[in-house]
Amino acid sequence: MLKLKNVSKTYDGKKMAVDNLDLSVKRGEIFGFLGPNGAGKTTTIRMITGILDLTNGQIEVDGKNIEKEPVKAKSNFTFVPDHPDIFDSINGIDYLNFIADMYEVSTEDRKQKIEKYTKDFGIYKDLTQPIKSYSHGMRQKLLVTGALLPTPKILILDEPLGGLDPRSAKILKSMMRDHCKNGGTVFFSSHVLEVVENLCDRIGIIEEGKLIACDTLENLKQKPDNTLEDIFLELTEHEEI
Amino acid sequence: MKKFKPLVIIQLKDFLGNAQSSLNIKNKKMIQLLQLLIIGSIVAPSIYFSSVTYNAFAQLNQPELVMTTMYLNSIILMFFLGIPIIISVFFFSKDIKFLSTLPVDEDKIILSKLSTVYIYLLAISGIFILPSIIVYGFYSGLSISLVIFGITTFILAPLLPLLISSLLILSINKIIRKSKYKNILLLLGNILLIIAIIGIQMGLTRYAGNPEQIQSALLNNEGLIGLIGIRFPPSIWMTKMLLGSLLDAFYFIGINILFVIFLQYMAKVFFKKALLTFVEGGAKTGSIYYKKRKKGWQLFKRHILIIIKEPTFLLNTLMSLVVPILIFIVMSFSGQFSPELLQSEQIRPFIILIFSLIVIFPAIVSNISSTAITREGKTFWETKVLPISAKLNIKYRIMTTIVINLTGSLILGIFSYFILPLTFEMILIAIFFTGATTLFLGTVDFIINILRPILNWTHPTAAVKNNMNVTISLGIRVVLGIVIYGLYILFPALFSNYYLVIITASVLFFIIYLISRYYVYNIMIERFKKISI
Repeated sequence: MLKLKNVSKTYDGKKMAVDNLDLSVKRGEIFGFLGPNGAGKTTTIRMITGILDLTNGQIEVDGKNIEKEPVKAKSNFTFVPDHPDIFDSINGIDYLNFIADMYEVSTEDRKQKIEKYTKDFGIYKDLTQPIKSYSHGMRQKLLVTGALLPTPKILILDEPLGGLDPRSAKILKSMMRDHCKNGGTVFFSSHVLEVVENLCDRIGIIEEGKLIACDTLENLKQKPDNTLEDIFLELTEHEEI
Repeated sequence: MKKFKPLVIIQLKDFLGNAQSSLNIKNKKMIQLLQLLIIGSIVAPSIYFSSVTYNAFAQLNQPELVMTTMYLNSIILMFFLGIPIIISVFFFSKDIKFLSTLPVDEDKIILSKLSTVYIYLLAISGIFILPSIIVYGFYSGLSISLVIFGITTFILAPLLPLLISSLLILSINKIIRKSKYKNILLLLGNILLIIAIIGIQMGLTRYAGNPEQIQSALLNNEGLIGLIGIRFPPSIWMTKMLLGSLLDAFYFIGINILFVIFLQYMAKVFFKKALLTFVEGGAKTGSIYYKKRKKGWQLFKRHILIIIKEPTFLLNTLMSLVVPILIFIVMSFSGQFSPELLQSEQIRPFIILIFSLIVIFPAIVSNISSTAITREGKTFWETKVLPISAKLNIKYRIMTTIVINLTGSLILGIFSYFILPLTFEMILIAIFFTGATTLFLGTVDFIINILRPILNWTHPTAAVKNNMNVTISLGIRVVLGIVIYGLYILFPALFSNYYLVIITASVLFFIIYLISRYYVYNIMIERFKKISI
């Protein structure tokens, strides 16, 4: 579903923010992307979503190259960034209709999904308010709702749980599971190891732009009683989380 | 004072940092060279103008009036340029809520925010007032008092327009802060404020230009300065202070201090009742809907809303679209200009030229296409991750700016219809001319923005005003003007028939538009794809 082949990125021509990254995510999988601060997680996600150009390599989303066929590739995923920086002078409902039109979601479908997700998240009544009046968490919920509207083949989320209250975090985790059960794929980065441990089918750990581990949690565990935290700290021992 | 200083420093660092990053040039020497070039290109004409004015007033035996007039014109310019910036730093900058959480007096927050506007206006003072004092000193002889009071004038000049504008803006806001339409009302209120300031100035200029007034002023030793200074009375004290009067120095410095104290006192009232209430979340608007629309419409709507919903962008766009109408109204009211003049026989051959220039005014002044990407700022990623082609993404950005400019042209066209004796032929030619010019300039401006996308700005003024893209865009228009003027000087015969000139210009602009369009959609598109936050 998602393939990264020898992907590299440098901003200054010297230091590699992402270095020769090979990665593939299968259909129906929840993939957790971990790494210390500044390891290259957001840069990788930005390259996958077409926000950043690749210095080397190629990325395919459901067989479509993000650089050669960007529109077709982008039709296959939706994205929730780590920072809820969205055009905030419009109302929440305007934003959701905008996203729905971009992904050609039918009127009935969008009505049903907008009502379901926003009511689950508790922001339905705020949809007619300008986004600028939303809290960080409310914006995050709006972005997640927008990302779920087209039922994307891959849902890509960068630190999706930051800013969400425990109830909303639980709802989101359940939505991610449901998305995969229905044949979708989820690729997300997170610092919350417990979430990654409980939610992900496979985990990738990136450090200094290089993928240093990528497997199921069971295979990553060298000892049966090791936690993901132990593995993460061991692999990235000279880095801060 | 302990807390005020770091507050001012952080505001200034933010302002200067933004100004520097808005230049989007990495080479520091290049920045310095560019800054020198810009300053030089403004200061040189200012010095020349001061010299000419000095000589004119010297013939009346009152050469010091050069300082009075340059001071007065600068004050008006400061009011005009300062008001939109004050609105932006007070109501639409993102740090006001954060600053309000700090253990600092509210008046200090307001004054520190004004420090950035002060620096901006100080540049105007340096460019226009300082040269006039230097020119006066150069011709009439330098004295210690002139140097000391010259520096005092340069430093104090921005204070009065800054403080008066702030008090007026905060007062308007205090009235409208609870309204559902506070953003629009704030803009309208401030447009009216600018109109009122220009109107009062023009009215007073007309009064001062009355032959009877001039005659009686010439008979009186101090009559002329009083007559000119009526536009802004502190200018009289300023002039006399520069001539060495300590009493007038006391008055001039005193009134500045008085206004600072007054604003400091009022700031406490304004901060909670006006500023913080204004930046609170808005009331509920509209209803939930699920209507399906075409992608193109949504993209167009998005770009229009970015302008309409962001008051600084809206004010900037509106001002540039309706300035000719404002000038006309103000000039008519102040009696500087009579609509009957346009109906006279002498003007008739030039009507097509006047009409064409009026209707292309939005395309010339409103260079919103040069900031079409920049306006999105950090939200640029939103359309970048969508399943739409780069071509479509570009197309609707350009289209939005062209539609706005053409709407401005239409409003001006309708307005002109009532004041100019237009024929069907003239209207047809002007439509073609406006279309070609708007398309060409809109597309060329967009190329500038692709080359210089500047997405990291913290307050909206930096996105549309303090921005080199706008300067480059205006530079293109200046070059075009010079080329046309050069052709007129070299080949005057070519300009004997204005109809032919405008039709030819339209065809030429349309051809260059097609070339620039090809360039955007086939070459610059790759550059557009590489833009990242």
